[in-house]
Amino acid sequence: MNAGVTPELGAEVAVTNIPPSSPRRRLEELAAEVAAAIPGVGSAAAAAVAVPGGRFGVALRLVCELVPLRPLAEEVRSRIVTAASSAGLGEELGPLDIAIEDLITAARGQA
Amino acid sequence: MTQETSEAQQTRTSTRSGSGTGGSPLQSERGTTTIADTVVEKVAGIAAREVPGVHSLGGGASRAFGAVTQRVGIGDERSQGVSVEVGEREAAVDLTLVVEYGESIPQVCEQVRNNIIKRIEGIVGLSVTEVNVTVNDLYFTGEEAPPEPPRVS
Repeated sequence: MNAGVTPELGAEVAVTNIPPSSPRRRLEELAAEVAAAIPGVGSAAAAAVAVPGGRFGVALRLVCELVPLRPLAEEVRSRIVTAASSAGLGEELGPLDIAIEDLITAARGQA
Repeated sequence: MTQETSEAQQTRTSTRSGSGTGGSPLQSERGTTTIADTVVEKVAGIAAREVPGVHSLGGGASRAFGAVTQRVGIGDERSQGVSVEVGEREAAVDLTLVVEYGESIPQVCEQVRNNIIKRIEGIVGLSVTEVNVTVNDLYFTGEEAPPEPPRVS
């Protein structure tokens, strides 16, 4: 991020040297975003940890709707693998463990 | 209430031995998929409630405790009265329910059993080895007192 001036305020913005996201962080963000966008997934949280071979294993925790869950998990896995490859992170992505932890139903609208 | 055959007991033992992680892991090339026991319990509870003639789930104590926990926001009636044992590919379900008076209890139990098997196999992808149903009470229409009006407007 470069120093700049916000036109609206006319004040100089303080500059901090934020390092670019590491592959681990990018994988976490990508996995959570991709999963949450899939129909049937209510919410998603991801955590990545280094695994042997220079890769990062991703543990994904999902709250899902009342739909067939194993096909949904496979869909999530497949889309994350595709998205990681598109983002240039295919080599870094290790095993993708998916845990479906709760259900959302229309009755309560929440888990 | 339900008599277990030796075959059912054997199956149940294998289901138990496959459990222990609090979920049902399924290994694939790119990682594991785990479905929490809570999810299986909720699916079973929802499936049981779908059957006409089922008034509520859980024993007296369970329902009383459930009412308190739901009031404070930590309980969920959908898994009340249901317990499951989940293995890698199989699940066993125990459930307690209250049947509406006038319904055929054997028929309601059979429908509950069939619906739970259908839902768990369809949604969770686990084979259901047994569904043990305990009917612990009957519900008579008009038995429950109407909710109290609010004390303040």
